[in-house]
Formats: sequence, C-alpha cells, structure tokens
Amino acid sequence: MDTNGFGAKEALREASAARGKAEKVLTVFSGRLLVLWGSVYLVMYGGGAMGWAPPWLWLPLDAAAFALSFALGSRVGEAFRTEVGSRLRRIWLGFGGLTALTLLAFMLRGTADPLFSFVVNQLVAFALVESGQAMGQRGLVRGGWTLAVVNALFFALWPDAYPYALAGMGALAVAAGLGRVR
Amino acid sequence: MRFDELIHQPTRLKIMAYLTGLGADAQVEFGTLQRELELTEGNLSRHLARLEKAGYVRIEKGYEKKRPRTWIRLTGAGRDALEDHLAALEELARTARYPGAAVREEQ
Repeated sequence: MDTNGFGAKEALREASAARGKAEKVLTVFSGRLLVLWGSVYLVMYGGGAMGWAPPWLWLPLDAAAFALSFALGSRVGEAFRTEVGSRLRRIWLGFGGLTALTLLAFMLRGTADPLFSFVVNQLVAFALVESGQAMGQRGLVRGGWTLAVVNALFFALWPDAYPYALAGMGALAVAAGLGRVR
Repeated sequence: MRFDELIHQPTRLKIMAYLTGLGADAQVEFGTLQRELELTEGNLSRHLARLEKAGYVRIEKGYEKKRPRTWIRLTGAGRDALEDHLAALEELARTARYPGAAVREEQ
C-alpha cells in the first residue's frame, strides 16, 4: 500500500527520525550540563593545581555556571513538560539546597578545603546518579559512581594528586557531554 | 494492527511519532513543536486540529510567565493508534521485502 506516494519504508524511517529527535531532548540537555561543569572542574582543579587559576575564581565561576545551568533548565522547562523533567528539577533543587546548607555549616565552623570540595563533590556524584536513574541513562549513573569513588579514594589515600584526579574527571565529563550534544 | 489513513499523512505521522518519543504524559509547547518539525504555524495548526478531532492528541491553552502558550500531548488512544499503524507499516514493508511471506502465512 502506498498513500500519497508515502511508502511504508519511508514512513517508518520518518517516524523513527521524529521519535529519535524527541528522545534526544533530555540527552542533549544533560550533555550541555556535563560539558559546562566538566569545564569548570577542568579549569579550576587542573588550572588551580598548576597555578593558572587563582582560588578566588571558584566563586564567580561557580555562580556563572549555576546561572547558565538554571537558564538551560528553564529553557527546556518552557518547551517541554515531562515527568522526567520534573524529577530532574527536584533532584537539582535538592542538590542546590544541600550544597547551600553545607556551605553555610562549613563557613560557620571555619572548615576549609579540601574537606569542603570532598563533600560537595560527593553531593554532585549523588545528583548525577539520581539524574541518570531518572533519565534511564546508565552512562550518567556510572559517571556519578566513578566521581564518588575517585573523589573518596584520592581524598583519603593520595591527597597530593586530588586536584589532578578531579581535573581528570572534568575532562571525562566534557568528553561524555560532547558525545551527547553531537 | 490497523493501517490508519489519518495518521499516515507524512506531517501527522511525524507529529505523532515526535510526541511518542517524549514519553508518557509529556507535553510540548506549540512553538517548539513547530521548530523541531520545521513546519509553518498554519500547517501545524491544521494537522493538530484533525488529530484532536480524532481524539489522538489533546491541546491545552494556558499562560507561562504571563505569555499565552499552547501545550500538546498524545492521548492513550493516539498512542495505541500509532503503535497499530507502525505495526501495519512494518508488516507492509516486510511483505514488500519478502513477497512470498504473506502468501505462505495465508496458507
């Protein structure tokens, strides 16, 4: 059967392409976030360890990355309403709240790095695992667990190499993110 | 398995397939759907109206940040109809590839 010159094979191909385009929406979004935050890790831990990036740069860079993440999330939220999107919003709002509380508690107790970095990175790892599970993306779940293990191992056993390990995780995140965005 | 003439129209098939790809109960904003499928406003409106009339999509109008928005979602009936239609297309493609298969199955 061929209706309006639109054959079965062509119709299946078109349907598959349209469906794939929709399925990529959240994948591309998560890819952009991975590139953004991977770059922050790469610049700050890698550049910091090599003396290129001064410690005061953390605050403005983090603030800019948070603002950009919020803008990206808001744009997706205005275009789509999905159950997964709502779950992602809850996960990252929770992460933001927990990080703010952690920051406040550490400031009041005078706790400095590297303990602060360790705790925040574990929170990031947990948010990545949760996001991966919400989106059904095993790569993101594995990435979150890898960050948690690397963060714990290097913090406990090789503190001198800790910034380099985190910079390496940033590079991995950038590579994984670029793979999703393409 | 049912070949659906309404869904088989190329633009409507793309709309239905795109909505399925978003997942269950997902909604897409009209302008986004228009951009993603590279359609004109009038063309998209016309096809959505036909799909809504058939009960395959639901169109909701509302406001987001004080701006009027139109949200589109696939209904359960629409999802079932698309699945049936795609199954019919696969069967057609299979019999076109192996012309003897349909005859053998009938025997």
